[in-house]
Amino acid sequence: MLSYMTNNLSEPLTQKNITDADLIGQIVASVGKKILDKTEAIETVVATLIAGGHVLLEDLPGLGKTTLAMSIAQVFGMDYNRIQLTSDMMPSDVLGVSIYDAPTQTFSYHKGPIFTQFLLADELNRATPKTQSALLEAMAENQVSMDGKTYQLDDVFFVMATQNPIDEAGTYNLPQSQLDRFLVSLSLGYPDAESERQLYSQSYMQSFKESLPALSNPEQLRSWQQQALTIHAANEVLDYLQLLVKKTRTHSEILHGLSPRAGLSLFRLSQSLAMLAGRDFITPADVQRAFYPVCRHRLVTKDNKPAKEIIKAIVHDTAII
Amino acid sequence: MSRITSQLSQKQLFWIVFAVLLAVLPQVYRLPMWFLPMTVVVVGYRFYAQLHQLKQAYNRILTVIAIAAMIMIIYSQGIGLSREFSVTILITMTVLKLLETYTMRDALLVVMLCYFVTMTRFLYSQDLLLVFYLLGSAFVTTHALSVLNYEKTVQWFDTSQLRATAGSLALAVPFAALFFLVFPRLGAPIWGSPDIFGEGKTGISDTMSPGSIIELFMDDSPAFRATFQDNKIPPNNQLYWRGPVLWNFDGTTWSRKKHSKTRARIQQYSETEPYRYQIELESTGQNYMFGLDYVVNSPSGAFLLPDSILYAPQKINQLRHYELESLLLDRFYQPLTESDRELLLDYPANQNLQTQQMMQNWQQQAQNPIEIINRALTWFNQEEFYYSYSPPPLSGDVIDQFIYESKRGFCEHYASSFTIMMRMAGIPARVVTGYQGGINNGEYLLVKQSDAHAWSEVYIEQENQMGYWLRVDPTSMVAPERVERGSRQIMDEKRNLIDYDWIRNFKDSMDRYRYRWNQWVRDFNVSKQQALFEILGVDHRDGKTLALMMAGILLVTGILSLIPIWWVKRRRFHALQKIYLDLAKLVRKQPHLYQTHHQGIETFIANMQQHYPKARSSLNHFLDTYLAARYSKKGNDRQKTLNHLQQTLLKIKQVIKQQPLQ
Repeated sequence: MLSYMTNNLSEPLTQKNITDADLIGQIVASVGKKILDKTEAIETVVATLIAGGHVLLEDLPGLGKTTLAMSIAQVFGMDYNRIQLTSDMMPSDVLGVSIYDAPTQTFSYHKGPIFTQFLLADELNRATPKTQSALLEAMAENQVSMDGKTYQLDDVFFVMATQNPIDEAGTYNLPQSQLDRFLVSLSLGYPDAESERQLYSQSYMQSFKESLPALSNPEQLRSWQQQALTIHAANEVLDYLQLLVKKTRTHSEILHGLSPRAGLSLFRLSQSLAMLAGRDFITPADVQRAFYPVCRHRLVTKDNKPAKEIIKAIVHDTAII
Repeated sequence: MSRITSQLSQKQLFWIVFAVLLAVLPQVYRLPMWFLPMTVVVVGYRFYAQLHQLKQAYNRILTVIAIAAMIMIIYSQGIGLSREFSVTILITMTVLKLLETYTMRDALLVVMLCYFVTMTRFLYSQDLLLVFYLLGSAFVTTHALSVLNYEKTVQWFDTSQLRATAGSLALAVPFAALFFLVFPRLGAPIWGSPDIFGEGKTGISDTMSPGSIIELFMDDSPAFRATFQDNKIPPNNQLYWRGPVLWNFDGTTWSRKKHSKTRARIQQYSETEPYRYQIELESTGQNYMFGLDYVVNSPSGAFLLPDSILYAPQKINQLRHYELESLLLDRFYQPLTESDRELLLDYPANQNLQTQQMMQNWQQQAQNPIEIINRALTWFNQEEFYYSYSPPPLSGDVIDQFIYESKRGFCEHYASSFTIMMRMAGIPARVVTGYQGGINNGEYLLVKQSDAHAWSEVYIEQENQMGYWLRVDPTSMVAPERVERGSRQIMDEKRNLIDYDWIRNFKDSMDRYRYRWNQWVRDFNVSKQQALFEILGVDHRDGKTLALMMAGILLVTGILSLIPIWWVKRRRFHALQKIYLDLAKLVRKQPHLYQTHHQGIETFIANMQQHYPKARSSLNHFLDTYLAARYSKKGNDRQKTLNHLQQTLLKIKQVIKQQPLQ
């Protein structure tokens, strides 16, 4: 696999015998060389990208958030920008600013870091609500409005925002309505012992410094995004999906269940996951896989109980035969 | 707001009120006068309050109303542990409950009360027609319950929901039948005991005063039914059903003589073949039983008095069956004591002097009593006597007035006058009341209250021989068709507003169904139930077996009622689901693995692959085929896919069999 990949680095798309699913598999594997033991998380991020959504990463520092973001931007050949959000940041620091141009006597717009294809917004909860909402509005509408003019963002625009669950002092937690704009949220967590041991090896150190070769390009990503929308869902699967959504609303330990928009997100992510598996239809297992990342940041539980157990229990108790 | 405290909609209120009114209606006739206006006011107010969204009245006001109603009930019906009193309280309070029925909780209570009120009507009668009405009432009550629980549409009469209600009632029918058959029966119904609940029934009584029989003529309800052996029904003019025999006359009222002895079995004094027949007697609330003159022997549970009355020691408060043998003769040989003779010749002194004068003349002119009797009968026949249901009222010297002035009357007048005339002429005589005739309703003879009749018996003394009682019916001289063809033939006058021939015919033929109803339902008593138990193999109905049986019945009922629920709720699997379940069954002996099949085929097959690495490829193949068949867009040839899956399943099975459990 590895030799095959390196042989075709120059023109990965001309190979007719490589299916989309294989190629996506290669992408995941390629990123997996930098982020060890996190295949599932990588797959979820790739699937979100294909579903046209955004990712919220909640993790402690040093667990590879930035590495993950950069790797994915590299393998997809996307423009990459990173903003480190702080409490003294203004919306213009993200969106850009209009500056008076004396020679032409006009205002000219200087685009901010948001005008990119892949935006890593580090420590989103450190920004003031004003800045947060400016960013999130741009994410939702895929455009920036400034001085009465509208500037379109790139049509493959992907935001990966990170939050630090500790060090809460001086942070502004995202309200539920803003959280809903992220298709998924996930946490990488620690790698297992073997993988962590591998981090210290000479060869990994070496490869870590090198940037990953682009295996795909934004154009292809766009076509995959289109393709994902056509993934078929049988009625039985939709029933199952809807049942899961309904159960989050009636569960005794959940205060607020999934919104219809969240249900739609669940459907989209299931479609992309099916595509990753090389199928043109969703199976209940896709929905099961998509359920936790979609629910994780959306459910408001009683007494702030961890949502993970509840979500697991819902999936476990909903039989599919 | 929880469901139990939710406010009622107009439709719900309508159905509850409808149910209450229907349940109460058949008892209105015996409720106090003020009941109907009170109901109208309560229902009117309740609807007004609903429309104008008035709040519920203060509890204190409702309490005052309830107490006032209690006082009114005590005032109109008296206080005591009687059926009337208890049922009136129940019904009144059910209607008043509507005043505070604003929420679901109260409405549910009212619905339960409605069922109860409906049932109490059976304390008064278990007639067939009533059963249909009460079924209708139960239907409306059930529908009110249904509407309370969910309103399918906003239509007030939603046919599909009405049909659903009918369905649920139909579901109850087998259970009702089962309980009817096996529920323990009391020997006599507790409400049948007159000691607890006073009973006022129509029927022939043991006194006869002017106009007492006329009430019966208006009443077309059945008195009893007679089934003759081999369906040999005697001619109408021999059908004298003997009831109370009246000895004493005080000038207006006839009454019975109290006896201290009973009569023995009739000796065979004639060649006539006795008739054998069975009587089904409706409850009368009295002790008399009826039989054709002259009954040979008393049935069990009753005895014959010296004047040939059939007498039951306990009052007849429920349907009663007995078998009789009768010699259809107009005379009965019996010695007469001197004291009885005196009693039978007694008449009020200084009254009816004109008649007395005439009779004394007749007595002097005649050779023997038979001549006097014949003369009297001829006289009734020749003089201008008319049979009439609306004779002018009599007072004072009633006999004189009747014979010489009004000359109009019915059996009561003729029997009474004739008997007194005989006594005045020195012939011992008495009045016999009972029924005459009957309607042949196919397999049985129907005798109605309107067949009530009175006739005379005179005692003919013979020298050197025992004297005998001779039946004389003076009415037959005035209106022969009454005796020849039955009471219906002389109904020249309309007895009431709806007294038409076709209605009477309809009522008579209806009685045929009532007869069946009695036979199969009302008369299912302790002994018939015991016979049923014996068929089932339960010989001794002691407490233990009964308790076991009841427990068994409840268990069976419980299971039976679960079946429809299970049937509706059961999961139905399509072919692909079934084949997946077949796959899961392969590892049923490993519960931990087997359980994971609920998580979907992908999880389950992944788990199976861990347990059975050798089957990995077959399992993968199965999974891919299965997923494509079940969830993909393109519909493969279904049967072919199923066959293919079936084959793969067999392969997997073989692998699993070869591999020992881990």
